[in-house]
Amino acid sequence: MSVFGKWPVKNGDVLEAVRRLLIHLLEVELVVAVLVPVETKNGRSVMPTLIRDPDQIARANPLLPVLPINGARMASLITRYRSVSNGKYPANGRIAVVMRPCELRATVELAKLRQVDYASLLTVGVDCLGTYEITDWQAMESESAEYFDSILDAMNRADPESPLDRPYRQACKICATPVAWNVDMNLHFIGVNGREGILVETTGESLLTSLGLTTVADPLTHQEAVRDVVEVRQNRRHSALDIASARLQAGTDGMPGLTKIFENCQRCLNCTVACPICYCKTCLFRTETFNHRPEHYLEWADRKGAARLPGDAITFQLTRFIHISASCIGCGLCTSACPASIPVDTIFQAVGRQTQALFDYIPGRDLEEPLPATTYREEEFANLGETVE
Amino acid sequence: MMCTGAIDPVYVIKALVGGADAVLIAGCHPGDCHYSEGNYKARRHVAQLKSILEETGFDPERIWLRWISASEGKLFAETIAEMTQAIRAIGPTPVRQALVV
Repeated sequence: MSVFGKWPVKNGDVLEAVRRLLIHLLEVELVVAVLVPVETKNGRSVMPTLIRDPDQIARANPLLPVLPINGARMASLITRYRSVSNGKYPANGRIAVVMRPCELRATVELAKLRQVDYASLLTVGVDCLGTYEITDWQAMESESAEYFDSILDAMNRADPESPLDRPYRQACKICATPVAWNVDMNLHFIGVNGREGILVETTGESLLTSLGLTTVADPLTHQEAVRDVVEVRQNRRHSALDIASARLQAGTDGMPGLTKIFENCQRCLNCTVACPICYCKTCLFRTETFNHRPEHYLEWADRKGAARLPGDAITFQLTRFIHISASCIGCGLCTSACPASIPVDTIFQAVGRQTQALFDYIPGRDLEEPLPATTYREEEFANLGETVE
Repeated sequence: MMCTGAIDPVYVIKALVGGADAVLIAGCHPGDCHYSEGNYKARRHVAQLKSILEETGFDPERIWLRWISASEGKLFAETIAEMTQAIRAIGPTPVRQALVV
């Protein structure tokens, strides 16, 4: 049962209020540390930072509209072997992770893959209507003095469009999940005037009480604003994925659309590095498996007249669909990382939409929902494998 | 393979994009699994693979899953004959000519 409270903001300084809340979590020992985006020295980007000393919260900024890395990977780094903690820190002490909704959904998927110890986390979601490519953001640096007001205003009026000169990242433009699901605490800014107070939602009353807050009535303006923006984004998302699906279909020459879209894929593996779900330490594509014996390349060139190198790009991407498409939460960092400007995430989300529908699975929603590849039902796909399909 | 449940789809994909006209995955009947649930999981994996191939412009009809146990030699022969005929009707895979695979 979730309850709402209002965290006070002094002199309209929202960042100070967010930082004060995080310091509070440390001081009342609700958590032993906080993982939060912290401004880099030049203030033009953020990096996830694990903070023990409350003084270090001073540069925390979970609202700066860039996502250089999906924080779920960091949640994995700091909790995956938690059970072998050396006892120096409270064994049952949790770490607050302050993240955007896509990062928190990825964290749930990584927990199912046993790469995150979810029980070690106090999940804190921050409403998000979009982030910018870092290059775009840095090009707009001159505006950065006012960016904060623009971003807060856009959230207050639940604007699905970018309030600044440059567009949001492609994945953000079609993201229909601006609010984190099933988290311990949500900091809401959508449909809220953040300068008058941050709308805090917690699962259960005790967490709200430990913040020193009392419950307020269900914030209808916030809930309606979220509904409105989700509806716009959902429509846009379906159109974008429909277009991607159409592009994937085979052309008149019978060639799968995938081979055209990934024509420029150089199999650099940047997408696998950026992807929060693609965690395997023993990835087949990092081995010599697909670096074939030299004479094989000549054989292939001989058979078809030519062989595009380095090759196996489609095998690589299809394999990634098998591994990732059920769990793809659409953070879009694969697209940001692609040196060939391939719209990787749009394609993955189009394929993911099919895979997820096939198994009636929504990634990142519920820790108890098993990963499709790890389970089965005896009565499903009964015709598959029989003589008459 | 010891079990259809142990088939990594990358083998099937590699064959298909390498120019194979079709791939047959044959295994023990549901309920007969030595490892109790391998073929149920395989069926799920194949359902997903076919869905992904269809979505990305490949012909999912080039992937065949058939339950044929080790003692069903006649069924195996019949299936191969049936499959050869069906795939011949579809024709050779266009992917064979693709330079980007």
